Amino acid sequence: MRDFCELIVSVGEGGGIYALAALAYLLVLRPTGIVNFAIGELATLGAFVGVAALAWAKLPYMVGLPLVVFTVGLISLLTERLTVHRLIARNAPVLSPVLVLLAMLTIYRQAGASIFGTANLFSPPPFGFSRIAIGPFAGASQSFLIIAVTAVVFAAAWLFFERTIWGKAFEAIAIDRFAAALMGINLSVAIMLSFAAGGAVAGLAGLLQSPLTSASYLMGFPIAIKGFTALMIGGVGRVEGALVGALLLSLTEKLVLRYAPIPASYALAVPFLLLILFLILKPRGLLAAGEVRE
Amino acid sequence: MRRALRAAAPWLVAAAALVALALVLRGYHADIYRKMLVTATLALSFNYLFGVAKQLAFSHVSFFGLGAYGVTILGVMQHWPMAPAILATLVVAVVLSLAVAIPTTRLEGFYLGLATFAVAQLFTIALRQGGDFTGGPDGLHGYAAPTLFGIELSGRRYTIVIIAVLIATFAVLRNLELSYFGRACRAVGDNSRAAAAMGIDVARTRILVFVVTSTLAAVAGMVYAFLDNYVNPNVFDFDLMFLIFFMTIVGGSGRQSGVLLGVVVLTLLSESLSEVVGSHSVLIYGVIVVIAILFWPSGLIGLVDVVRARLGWGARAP
Amino acid sequence: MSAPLLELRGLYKSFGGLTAAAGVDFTLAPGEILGMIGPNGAGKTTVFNLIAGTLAATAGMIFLNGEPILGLPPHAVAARGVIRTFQHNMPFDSLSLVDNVLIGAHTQMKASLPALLWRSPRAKAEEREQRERALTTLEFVGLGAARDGDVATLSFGQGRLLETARALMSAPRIILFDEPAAGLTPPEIARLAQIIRKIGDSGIAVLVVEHNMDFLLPLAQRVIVLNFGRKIFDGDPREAQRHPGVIDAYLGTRNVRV
Repeated sequence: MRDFCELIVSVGEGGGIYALAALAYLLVLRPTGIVNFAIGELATLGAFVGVAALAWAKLPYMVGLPLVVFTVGLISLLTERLTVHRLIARNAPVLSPVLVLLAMLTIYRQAGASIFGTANLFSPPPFGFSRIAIGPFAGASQSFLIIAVTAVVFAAAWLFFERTIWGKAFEAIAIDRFAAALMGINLSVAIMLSFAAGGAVAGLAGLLQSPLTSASYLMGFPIAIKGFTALMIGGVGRVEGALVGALLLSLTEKLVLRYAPIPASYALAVPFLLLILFLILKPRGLLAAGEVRE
Repeated sequence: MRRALRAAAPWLVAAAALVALALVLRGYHADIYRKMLVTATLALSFNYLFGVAKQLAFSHVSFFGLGAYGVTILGVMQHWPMAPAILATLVVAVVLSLAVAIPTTRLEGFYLGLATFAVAQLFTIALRQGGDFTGGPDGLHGYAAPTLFGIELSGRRYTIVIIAVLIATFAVLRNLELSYFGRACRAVGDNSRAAAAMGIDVARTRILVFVVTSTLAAVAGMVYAFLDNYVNPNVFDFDLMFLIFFMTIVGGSGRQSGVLLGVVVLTLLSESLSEVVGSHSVLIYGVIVVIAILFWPSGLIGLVDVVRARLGWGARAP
Repeated sequence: MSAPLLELRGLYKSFGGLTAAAGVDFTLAPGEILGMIGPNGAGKTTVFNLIAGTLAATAGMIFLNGEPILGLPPHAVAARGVIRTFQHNMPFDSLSLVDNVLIGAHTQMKASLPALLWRSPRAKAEEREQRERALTTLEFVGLGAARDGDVATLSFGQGRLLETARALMSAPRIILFDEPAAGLTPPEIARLAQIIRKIGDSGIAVLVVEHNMDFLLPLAQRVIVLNFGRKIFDGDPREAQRHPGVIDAYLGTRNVRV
């Protein structure tokens, strides 16, 4: 029983990061149809800024966290303004924004490595390394922090999409961009918002993960892959899908690691195999709903 | 007869120039030159798949690795004679590319990129976990240059082989481009619905072009294996894939001369930059790619066209 | 009387609760120019797409020279000689103008892939032959002068002619025209009518879905009128204009003073 509860916390911890990454994709994907693969590197930047703010400048967490979120959100916003915006404005071929973001991915990664070096950097967990227990559930404090933050962010995201006017605007743009523009929705502002929000959430994911695995310029790739796989599993349309997909992915990973008789290094292949499987079998994901602009 | 000679002239001139360079360059420069030739061979097939057929295939470098590891494992580690090793590697490349292409044929744009990216990562994992068979994370190295048809694959003689493979790849892709299948590839890349309305089997076309180009990538890989007599998993990873992208996009995607220009530019850039900027060179490449996508979508070869037009120099390069 | 070239029998298509085609039957003979008209929502596009293979039917049969073709994917239908044009012209941007026409001949090319990779003499000869045909076809539709240009610089009307040339290159037995007169200027419409008439004369069957009656009624030898997914008239175009059911369908009331 205790084993099971620990598994739940563990799944929550892993799943939380993937869920945030998946949400970061979703926030950009919905109004623009663009898959911003660079969110993995944005997460890395979040982790690095976190190290700079918390470990080097010794700022309190309540200051550091918003700083990270704001900074990475800003970087993502600037990227959109300087690159993606131009391409959308001149009706460039549909792959161009994706390619430019791939190039940005490389730029972020190299910039991060240049500024912060290639060694693993320690990122201090805000509640230290203590283990806490909430009822039958025990785990590291960081795990609970991740679960808590993910829950809050997803609640906010759900409210945004379901209850606010901008959230509805995102939906409308995803369904029919021209009609949305005709209805008075400012496409340009919406896209800016989506990139800023996507970046902010990605930065948050990186910040939350870094105490567990340390901040390193290579941490972006796994986050990017798993985040997208989570999104695919859950259905590329919906906020709930991102969460469900992330939890399922994390669960599968933990179960395979614990019970499958294959070496841990092969377990690395699991998210990729799942991704391929879902791309081929269910390009719309498990909880598919609505149109996705491709 | 004269017409055949006139048609062959540009090829002979190009071959002669390449060979002359091979004979003139020595030591370090000869190494760079040979690497550039192999990279060019790889970039040509990628350009056809991505620039012409519009398939965003991140698996390309993996097939390059497949070719390299294939001949090394079979020809050197398993002591097969070179010719059957090459043949077997080609067969494996064709079979594996079919295995990748057939299930992914319905995927468009970025989703195909993602699927092929996942395949590429699986390939790298397989290489690293291959134990003694693949040499694991350290790869295979220090093997002697084998002989093929009596030619020992090393030194200047090997450079000639590399040039021959490059020219053959260029020629094959050019023939494809000029054929009705090449037109079909372009049509499918432009508008698959309209292509189907013309009787083109879209899935079959996509699969075939994937197989042909991936196999050509494997051929380039086979040549690579004996450059330094060293293969390791880190080579056939995302970094190389990004560089190939760079060459295609910056050089001018969709055109062979564009890609070749991109290869030359990147090689010269990396040589001149490495003393100045060192490990940050990739950052600069990234910036250049972004600038190219934003401001020169037709690549450097597009700029060359503009210059040629201004100077009144006639027909554009292929 | 020989078997019809194209025969539709009892074609049904429903989308959920909406029945777009409710038992449509008609035939088409070689060299015949058949018009398909009807008010908006009558099912013309549905029938068109069912023939072309873009839509799967709920029930019914389509026979091409006696061979059932319902359910075949679009490229297979095209390969059997039933070619469609697109209302919003769909040229291939990365191909030259001549190549755009040449792509129509895809199903006529027989060289195998290895032969293409090595550029065998037979492959070269086939290519040359088709290129000649393409140039001739461009002349036929009146685009001969524009042939060295870019597809991007063509006017809409020229683009329509390109679509037609492309269709002809596949040596079709039937060409399906999807509102070919839409977006054309009056002289372009007249030219197109002439071209379609010549196509019919050459033995190719033509099915034209159209709204423009001034264009269609003089051109078509026979006309089918659809309304609410059913065929309500099949016969001479001039009689169609007088047929009460047809007038009813277009005007919607019985008590119109004609």
